[in-house]
Amino acid sequence: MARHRDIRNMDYSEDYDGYDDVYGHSVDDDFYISPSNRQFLYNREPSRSSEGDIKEEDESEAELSDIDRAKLASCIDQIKQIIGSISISRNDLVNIIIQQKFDIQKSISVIMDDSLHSAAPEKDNSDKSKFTVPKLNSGITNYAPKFTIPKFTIPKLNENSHIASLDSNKIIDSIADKKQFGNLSDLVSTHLKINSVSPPIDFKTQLKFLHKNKPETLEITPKLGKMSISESRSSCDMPDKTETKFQIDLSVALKNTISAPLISTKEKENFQIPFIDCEPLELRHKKEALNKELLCTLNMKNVKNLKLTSEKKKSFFGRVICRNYKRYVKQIMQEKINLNNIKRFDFSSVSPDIVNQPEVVQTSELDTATKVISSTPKTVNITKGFDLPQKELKVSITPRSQSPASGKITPVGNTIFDNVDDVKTQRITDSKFDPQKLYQKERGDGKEHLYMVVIGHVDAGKSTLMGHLLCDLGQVTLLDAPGHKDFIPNMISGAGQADVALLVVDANRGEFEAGFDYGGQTREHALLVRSLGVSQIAVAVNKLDTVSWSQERFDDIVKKLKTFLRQVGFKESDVSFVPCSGLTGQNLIIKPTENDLLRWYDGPCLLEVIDKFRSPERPVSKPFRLSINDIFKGTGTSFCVSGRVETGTLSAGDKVLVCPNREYAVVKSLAIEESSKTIVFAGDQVIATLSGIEMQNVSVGNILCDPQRPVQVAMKFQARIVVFNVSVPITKGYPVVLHNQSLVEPVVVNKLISQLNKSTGELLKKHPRFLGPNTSAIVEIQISRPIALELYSECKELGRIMLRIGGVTIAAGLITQIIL
Amino acid sequence: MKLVSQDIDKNGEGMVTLIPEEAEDMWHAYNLISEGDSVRSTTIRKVQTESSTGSSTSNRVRTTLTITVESIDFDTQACMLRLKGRNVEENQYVKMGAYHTLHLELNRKFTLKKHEWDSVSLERIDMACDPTKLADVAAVVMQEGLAHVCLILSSMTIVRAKIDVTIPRKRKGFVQQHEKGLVKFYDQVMQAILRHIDFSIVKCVLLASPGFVKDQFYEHMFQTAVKTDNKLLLENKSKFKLIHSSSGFKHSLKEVLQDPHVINKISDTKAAAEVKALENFYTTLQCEPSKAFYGKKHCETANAEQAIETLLISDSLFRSQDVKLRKEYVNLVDSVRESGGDVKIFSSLHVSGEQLEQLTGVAAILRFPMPELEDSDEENEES
Repeated sequence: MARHRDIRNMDYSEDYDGYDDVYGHSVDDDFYISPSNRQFLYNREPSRSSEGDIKEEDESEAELSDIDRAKLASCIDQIKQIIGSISISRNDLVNIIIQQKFDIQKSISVIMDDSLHSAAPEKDNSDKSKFTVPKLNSGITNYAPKFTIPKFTIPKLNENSHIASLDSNKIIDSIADKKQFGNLSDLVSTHLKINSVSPPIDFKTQLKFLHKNKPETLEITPKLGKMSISESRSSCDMPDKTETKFQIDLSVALKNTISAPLISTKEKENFQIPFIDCEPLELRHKKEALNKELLCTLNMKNVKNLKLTSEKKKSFFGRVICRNYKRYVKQIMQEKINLNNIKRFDFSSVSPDIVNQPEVVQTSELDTATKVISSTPKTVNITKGFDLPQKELKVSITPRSQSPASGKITPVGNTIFDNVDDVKTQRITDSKFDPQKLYQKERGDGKEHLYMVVIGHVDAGKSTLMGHLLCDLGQVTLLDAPGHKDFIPNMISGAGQADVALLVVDANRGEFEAGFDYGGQTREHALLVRSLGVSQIAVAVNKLDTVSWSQERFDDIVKKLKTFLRQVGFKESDVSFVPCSGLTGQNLIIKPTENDLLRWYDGPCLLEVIDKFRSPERPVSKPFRLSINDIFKGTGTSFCVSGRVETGTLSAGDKVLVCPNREYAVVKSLAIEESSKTIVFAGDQVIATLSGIEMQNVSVGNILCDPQRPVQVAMKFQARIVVFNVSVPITKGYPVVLHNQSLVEPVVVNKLISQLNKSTGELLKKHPRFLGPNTSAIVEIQISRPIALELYSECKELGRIMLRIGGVTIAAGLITQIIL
Repeated sequence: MKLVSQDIDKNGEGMVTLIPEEAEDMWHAYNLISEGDSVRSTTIRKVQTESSTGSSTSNRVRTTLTITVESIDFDTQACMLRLKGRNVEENQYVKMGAYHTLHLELNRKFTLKKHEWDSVSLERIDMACDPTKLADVAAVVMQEGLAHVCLILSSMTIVRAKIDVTIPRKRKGFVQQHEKGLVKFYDQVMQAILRHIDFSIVKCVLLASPGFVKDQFYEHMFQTAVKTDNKLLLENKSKFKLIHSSSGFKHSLKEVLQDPHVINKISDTKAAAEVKALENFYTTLQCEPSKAFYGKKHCETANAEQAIETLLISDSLFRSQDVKLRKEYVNLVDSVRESGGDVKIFSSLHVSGEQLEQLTGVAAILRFPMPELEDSDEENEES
């Protein structure tokens, strides 16, 4: 800086007076906005002219009394619930309702009659609330030339999107509390039946659906939306290939929908979240591509708006139908079938959308329908790359679809599903029905996998026994847990993945007692596996040959263990005892041959007992969770994680969230014991190859979960614990090691909230000073860094915890409250 | 720490001049200095001067300043102590009332002036200046994939390195990955040991782990040392001791310090004594719950009855910024001593001290049971 006084004392503010005027605000130009900021910018340009339209509509109600208005509102709501926004503007609806004196039944029949008689013209009428062909057309023809500058496109598109959103908004209203369909909905369905003129596709099956199912009217609108899109397409002769770049348009669509005043805030959130991913690419492409792709933009936007609503309650079948529909539309475009036809098809396909019964699916789309589901999740991750595997897409294409572009168009719709956060809702409905169904389909035929953990005191003969068993059997998946106390952490992670347990005890005099009495691993192991959620246990009374197959000894052990196991919490029916010898192989896989044993034992052999284990219920319909217990390099650049799917299902291609870091990853492939799978279910031991995430950012104990319904992440939680036989009482501030599935983490017992009666669970004492042996209590636990957790009530598998210190398990518990 | 001069009158007011000599002394200084004290020390200050022509120059000068402390920062890792406050003695560079931040430096004396020197502070000076320096011990607690390299000084435990890597498990056809991961992990731990442990000071290195990890590591380390001809390690091989611990988390240090072999070796370190005292407290709590209490209220009530045999108190309580509260704790300590009780001031930088700090910071083992305290506790806690 110059040293001259004049310069030093210069008043800069004077010289820069004009500066702010020129540079003070950022240039509001789409060209220079960082893509990632784009969505946060307020668009100053668009005239939100359509606001006026909405108000006008409402004016007819102005002269009604308050009570009437309330009645009217409820009527409209109910009618919307029943028929959706089928084909009537609010104005007309209000008129009809008033004419029918607020009688819903009558109003609906009037509406339906109207729509019956004037089905085609009705829809072509430029209803304000509807996305109609003429309007769209005019929009395109008028504005298309100007689209070279993005600024122009946005406001103009806005109008259209606004109309669409208006429509969708209504449906959302109706969805909001759509719970029951009464007679009225049946009425609708019959109307529809009559109305439906057989379209070339699937009509027969659709009729079946009509019989079998109640119609869900909300599906109508999306169809209409799509229909009009296709109409506009055909009228403008846009080449199909524009579809491929639709990603670009999404940003426009996003912007538009956000600025559309009618869309509720809730929806906005839904919109924004999924878009973040594809944002950067979009804008870059947008500039040059926009001109060509105007139409496509329109399409996408509208479809999206409509999808938003449709997804709320859409079954997977709905999607199938949508695709059908799209395919169908394609055909129409080629074959130049007239518009009416489409509409009729549309109507008739309304009711099938809610079909959820598996048999129906099979009849309609045969195996393609089910495959579609497995392919849908795959598209989740495709938002970025867009090189959809053609194979997957073809799955949903029936031989009928002749359009060369159909391969492309299918993913378009799909990707929108995924972009818009509706996947969430979509999945919810999906998971209600599909996973179970799929599970049945995939796993119904074969024998169910059962994971068994073998536990017992050091040298009880676990490995010998299992070695012998395996040797005799061929192959079994075996989790052999070490008996030594230093390796109990390993055992916990092993047992956490087991469904059933085999407890091996040594029948030798003195040996059994050593393992069973305090300090022995027999007790601790049994306690652990029970606390880890294993409910069925078989006890192999091993080495009985060394006590010359003494019945007395066997009974003695059985008696002791039975009492103990009951205390631990095993049901009597879930515990079985087998005398055997691991060394000689007596009573392992074949009935005993030893006379000494035969004299008093005629029960099943060990293998039979193992075979008799019931496979536990697999919570396939819950949100997906997988607790990582191993991470290793796979082939190539990717890496693999392995673990047990605790709940839900996972398909190859799914996007998953790695918690607690909350990083996204994509599942490239899945395998169960080296055989690759496309879909895995709760209870499976899975090796998943992940991409899109650094190996260092994943660690053992992390949870893979469904990004839409992620696992909770917290540093503090409350748990109800049962304190075992501890030598040192648990006080406030007690440092322990927390085990939760495969996670091992040092934690501090932060607060002792209350002490409970161990058996009844009633409150004994608030804020106890300490927790002695064999007590039950509610405590607060503080973790030094965030971990992924679930409430026990929501996910049993992840809601169980175990507290250990100094190599001893001191308590087991359930997470009752997560404190964020 | 060296005590240069001490000038405290009968009311407890006065000043003390000290020279910190090693990192740990900073910790003592941190515990000695509280807000409102004045500290005089040499420091570097940037001074701006304007010449008559108006040009200004700034230069750094070393000067001696006296400030009244307003805030104290202690960096446990670097053992740095920063004192911020206003200047109370004007000199040619710094005006009265100007803010300055003093960094206490090793081997440079500082003078601390307090309005009241209490027994705890004086004891702290005695302790800090105790010339019989205790053995410095390093400890490595590890498990597969996790290791903490710590230095155990007499009044603080510093984690110098934490190594946390994922080691792939053994699986069919993938055994190499497991082994590779393990070797890499061992190498990292070894590097940490070489970097952070000064074998000229450290008398003993404790390797602790569950299972065979420590043995494998020990073997691997010396094999590598032989291969790379690492004299330092080979010369100090005898300093390594293998001890069992249940995990590789930091709190396992407690187990390590309880190990009889270790106690023999480092019996006079504060750390081991603290662990033992806390252990005693827990045992009493288990066996005779009415003889062990924690929390300020309980301890004060018990003290009123002269019932406290051993008082465990965390030094963090004396760093309280609330002068009144600090005084209450000092009084508690004094009165326990008066009635013949034993007071153990835990360093909050030790594992046991951390635990005590979580446990309200103060606990007491009583001479006789006081069941009435137990009964009263519900009301207390609820209120």
